[in-house]
Amino acid sequence: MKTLSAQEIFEKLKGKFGDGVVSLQTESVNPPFAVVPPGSIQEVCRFLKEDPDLLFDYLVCISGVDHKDKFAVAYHVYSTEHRHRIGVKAMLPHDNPVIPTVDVVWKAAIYLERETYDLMGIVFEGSCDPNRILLPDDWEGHPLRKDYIYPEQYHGIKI
Amino acid sequence: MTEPISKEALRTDEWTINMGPHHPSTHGVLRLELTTDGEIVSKARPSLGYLHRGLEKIGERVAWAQFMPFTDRLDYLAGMNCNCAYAWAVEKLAGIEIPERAEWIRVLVCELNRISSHLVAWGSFCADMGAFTPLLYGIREREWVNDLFEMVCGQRLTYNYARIGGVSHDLPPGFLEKTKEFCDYFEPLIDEYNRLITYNKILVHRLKNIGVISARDAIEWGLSGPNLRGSGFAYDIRRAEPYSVYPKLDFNVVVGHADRGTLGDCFDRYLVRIDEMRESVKIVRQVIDRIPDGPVMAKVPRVFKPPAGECYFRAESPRGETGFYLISDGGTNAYRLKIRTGSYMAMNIFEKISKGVMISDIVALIGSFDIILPETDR
Amino acid sequence: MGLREYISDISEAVVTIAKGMRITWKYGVDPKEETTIFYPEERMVMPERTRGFLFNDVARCIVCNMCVKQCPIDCITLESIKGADKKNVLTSYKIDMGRCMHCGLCVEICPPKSLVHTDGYEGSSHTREELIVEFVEDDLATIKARIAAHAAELAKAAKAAEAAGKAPAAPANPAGGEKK
Ligand code: SF4
Ligand code: SF4
Repeated sequence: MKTLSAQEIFEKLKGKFGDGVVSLQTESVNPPFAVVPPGSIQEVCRFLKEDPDLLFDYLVCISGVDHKDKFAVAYHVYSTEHRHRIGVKAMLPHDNPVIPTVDVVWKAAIYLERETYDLMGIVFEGSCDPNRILLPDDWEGHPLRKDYIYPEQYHGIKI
Repeated sequence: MTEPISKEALRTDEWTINMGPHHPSTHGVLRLELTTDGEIVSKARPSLGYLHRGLEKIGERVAWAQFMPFTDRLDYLAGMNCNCAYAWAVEKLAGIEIPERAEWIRVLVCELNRISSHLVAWGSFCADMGAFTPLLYGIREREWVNDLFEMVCGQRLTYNYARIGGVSHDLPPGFLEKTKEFCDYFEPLIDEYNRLITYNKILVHRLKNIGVISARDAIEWGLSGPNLRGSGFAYDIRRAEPYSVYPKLDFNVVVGHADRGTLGDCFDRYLVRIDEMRESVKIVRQVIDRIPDGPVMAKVPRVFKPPAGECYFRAESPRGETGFYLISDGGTNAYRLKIRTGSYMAMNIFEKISKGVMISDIVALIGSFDIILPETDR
Repeated sequence: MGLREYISDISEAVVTIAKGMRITWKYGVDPKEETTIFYPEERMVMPERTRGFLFNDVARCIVCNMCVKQCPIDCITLESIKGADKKNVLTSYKIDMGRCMHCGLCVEICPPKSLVHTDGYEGSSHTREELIVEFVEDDLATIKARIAAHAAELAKAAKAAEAAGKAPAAPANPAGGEKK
C-alpha cells in the first residue's frame, strides 16, 4: 500500500499521456480533478485502473454538471488497495454532449452513466445499456439541465 | 442447487412477468421485469424510478440549510446518517469546524440509527424468507431507538437533527443514561436473535450459496457497505477514509467469512448486518463514556454562503456509501448537488447475479441487499 | 444424500426450530412489558421536543416573514397591513398542514418564538382545504377598526403629552389580536 497525493497521481498521468491530460484542478476542489479531453477518457481510466501504482479499482461516482455553456462529467475514483483518490473531469460542448463510455473499465459505470444520461442528457457512446433509468422512457427533456422547462402534463396527467 | 430440466425433455416457454411495483417483498416500489423459464429466472431487469422526486433538482432550488429535511427522505430508515452525511459534506465544502461535542453526538446518533436500520433490515429480510416473528422483534427494539430519537429531536422517522455547523439541540438530560440502558438491554438480544432464527436450518438453506458475489466483482460493480463486506472484503469508509471522530473509536470492520455456504452469498451479507449491530453498540458505549461537554453549534451566518468550490464527501451509512458531490458557486443554494447511494449501486449488480436463480431466490437477493427505494430513486 | 445425512439434516432442523420456538413462546407466555396502549382512552406522553402540529401565537408574532422564507416547501403564507405605530399587523397567517413536513426549521428561526410546535398529532379532514389552518381569528374589518382605535389612542396620548409638556408614553399595542 502506497498512498499517492493527487499531484503525484497527476504527474504519473502526465508522464503517460503527455498532453493527453490537460491540467490539475486543485483550487478549492476536494478531491482534485485531473481534467482530460473527452476523447481520451477511456484510456485514462484504463490506465488509472491498471497501473500498479495507481490501481483505482473502485468507481465511486459519475456526475454530470451543467455549466450553462458547457457540460462537465466528473468521475470520482478510489483505490481500495492504495487508499488514494482523485477526480477525473471532462468538459463537453453544450450542444452535443457525447463522451465515450467507461463501463468497459468499471462495471459500476453502467448505472451511473444511465443516471447521468437520464437526468443530464449526456450521451455515453458505446454504453452497453444506453437507456433511461429513473424517468419513463418517453419522458421529454433532461431535468437536471439548467434550462429545463417543467412540463405541464405527462400523458394527460397534470404535474 | 437447482438444475433446469433439459429443454429436450420438456418444452418450455419463456415468460415475462412483472414482479412489483407493489410486491410486498420488493421493499418498496421496485418493479422487476422477470424473464422466467418455469421457475428459473433467466433475466431480471430492475425498473427504478417509481419514487423519483428529483431531490437533486430540489437541492438546487432550496438554500443549503433548507435541504436538510429532504435528506431524511433519502433513506427513511437511516435519516440520521443521511442528515449527518450532508452536514459533513457542506462543512467540508465551506471549511467549517464544528464543536467537538457535536461530532460525538453525530457519531452517537448515526450508530444508533445504524442499529435501528439493521434491525428493520434483518426483520424484513426474515419476513421475506417466511419467518414473521423476527420482524416483530426487530420493530420492538427499534422502538427504543425511535423513542431515544424522539427525545433528542422530536421526531421518530424524519429527524432533521443535524445542522450545518453542529446539531439542532443538545442531548436532553437523561439521554445518555437511557442510551446506556438500551445498550444493556439490546446487547444480549443479538444472541437471542441468533438463537431465534439465524442458524435455523430452513433459513440457512434458503440463503447459503445464493447470489454469490466475489470481492472482485463487488468492487468492480461498485457495491459498498455491508454488501461489499459480505464478500469478505474489509472496506469501511469509517476506517478507510476516516471522518469525524471515528479514528478515536475502537471497533472492528465486520466481514463475511463463509459461515455456512460460499463466501459472498446471501447468508454472509445477513450475518454481517447482525454482527455490525454488535460493533455499533460497542461504539455507542464508547461515545457515552467519552463524550465531552461544550457547545453543539458552531457560529454559522444565518444567510449561509459557502465559497465557490466543489467537494465530494462520503460517509458510511447502513446501506453503504452515501456520497454527496456538492458544487457551490458562492450563492445561497447549491449549484449542483449529486447524491450517490449504496442501494442504487446494489441494483446495478442485480441483473448480473440474478441469472439462473429461482423466483423465490430473487426475494432473498433483494432482502440481502437491503435496498431501500427512496434511496435508489431519489 | 445418504440416509445418515438426511436424518441429521432433519434433526438439525427440528433442534433449531425448537430453539427458536422456545424464545417465541417465552415472550408469548411472559411478555416482559405490556406494549399495548388503549388509545384513545390512554395516551402516550409526548416528549418535550415533539414536533407536532404548528401553532402561531399571533399576538406575539412580529410579522418578520422569516418563517415564510425559511420553509423549504413554502407552506406558510402571511398577509399584513401597516399598523398605527409603523409596525405591521397580521391580517392572515396560514399554514398548509397537509404539506407541512414538521421539519421545524420555521420554529427554529422565529425570533420571538411565537411559532411553536404543539404535541398534537391527530388531524384529519375531508378536504385538503380544511387542512390549511388560519391563525388570525379576527376578520379584516375588526383588525382595521382596532388599528384605527389604536391610532386615535396614540394621537390622544401624544396630545396629552404635549399638553403636559412631557415625553409621550406609548400605550401597549393592542392591535395584534387577543392574547391566549
Ligand atoms: S415545519 Fe417545516 S415544512 Fe412545516 S411550515 Fe415549518 S418550515 Fe415549513
Ligand atoms: S418567524 Fe415568527 S415572528 Fe416572524 S413572521 Fe414567522 S411566526 Fe411571526
